[in-house]
Amino acid sequence: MVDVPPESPDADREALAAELALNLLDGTERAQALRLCLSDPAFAAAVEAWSLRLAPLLDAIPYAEPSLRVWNAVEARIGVAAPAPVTNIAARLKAWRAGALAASAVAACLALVIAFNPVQLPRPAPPAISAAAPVAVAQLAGASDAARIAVAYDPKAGLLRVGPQALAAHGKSPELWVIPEDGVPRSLGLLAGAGVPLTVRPALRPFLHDGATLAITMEDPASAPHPGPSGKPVLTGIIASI
Amino acid sequence: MGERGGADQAERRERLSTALRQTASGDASALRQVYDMTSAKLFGICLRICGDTQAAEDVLQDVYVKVWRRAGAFDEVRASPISWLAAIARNAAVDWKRAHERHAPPTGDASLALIADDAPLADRLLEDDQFRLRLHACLDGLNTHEADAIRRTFLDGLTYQQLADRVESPLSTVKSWIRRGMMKLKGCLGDG
Repeated sequence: MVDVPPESPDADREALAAELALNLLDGTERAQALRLCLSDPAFAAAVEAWSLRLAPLLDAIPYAEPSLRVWNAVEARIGVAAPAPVTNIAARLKAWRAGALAASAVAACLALVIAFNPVQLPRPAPPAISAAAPVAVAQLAGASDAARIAVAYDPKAGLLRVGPQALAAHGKSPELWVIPEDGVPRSLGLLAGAGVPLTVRPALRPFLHDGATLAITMEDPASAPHPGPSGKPVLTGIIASI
Repeated sequence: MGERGGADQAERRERLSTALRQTASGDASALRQVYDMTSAKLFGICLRICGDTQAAEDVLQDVYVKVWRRAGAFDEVRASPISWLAAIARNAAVDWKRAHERHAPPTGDASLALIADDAPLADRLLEDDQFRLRLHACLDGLNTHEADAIRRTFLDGLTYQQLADRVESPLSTVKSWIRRGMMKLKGCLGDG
């Protein structure tokens, strides 16, 4: 924010977190703040804290009864969402799924906050994205919070950019999966080194939409991409577009 | 609220937390219970921010589908269940508003009136009196401009620019109201 004195970066951050939580920002400022969420878990935690801190204000709003069609529609949608072929990984993912206050872009930020612990967290740099391109983002995190990876997707180019990551190897390589609503993981390929974008096969691009889950498993690099994951994911996250 | 009300509140909150945990394990009847306990409140929020019944119902539908998918993220240590749900509803409604207001004129002034703190309300048993009272006490400690700016932006989902237009003040002025107000609020709430 240009109008905050440069000597108060903490206050500046905190104000930005509050502004994002209140949805006060638009345009470039909003996009920048959302990217900060991806690169800085402490910032993401501050955004969620603001959102929850002010929630009691909403108590002042009178209640209203929605029509019956709302529940009927919810029921139909969650019925459809329940996958016929529930794979093991899909079942496990319930426990792995990164949190989210909502599927909105701000929620993508809030989704990052899981048992927040600033001491253990590496701070991955945000993936480079051109300012003009529409992007979808996800931050992948594991249950232990020991590692986090920021992922940005440029749907125009079909490119996934993955932030710095240092996943334990033991001869295995991180393989990225997209898991859409049917619960079936599709391999997006092995993650290359930091800064090397992953080209998504055209057939898989439609799956990279808001709310889809991304997951990383450790796989044998020689036989990748695999038809299905061999183990449980080490990191998962949910896609949201900016 | 009396002692009895306090006990009811605690019990209802616990029931809602339990229903959310069961929802996270894939129990659709638990989601229905969450819906029955909270849909009137969340619909009120969506309606207020969207300003249109049809849109608010569409947003509400999305909200419960999100709750279904993400109930596992609810952590009662960090948030009361109703605050968590209300924040989801507000975010979803504001997203809708942002996506649609470019094409639609702003809603009429009637919907923008500030709600007084003592407005008569429906069932409040889910809500957390303690947090609300503390928040309102802290808001009372701000100057009128700051407190009103925060209430209006939060309850109506306004951007800085929209707030500046509404109150006919310069953008930089409303920005500093909000920022100063928010920092004071944080200090007052003492939850750092």
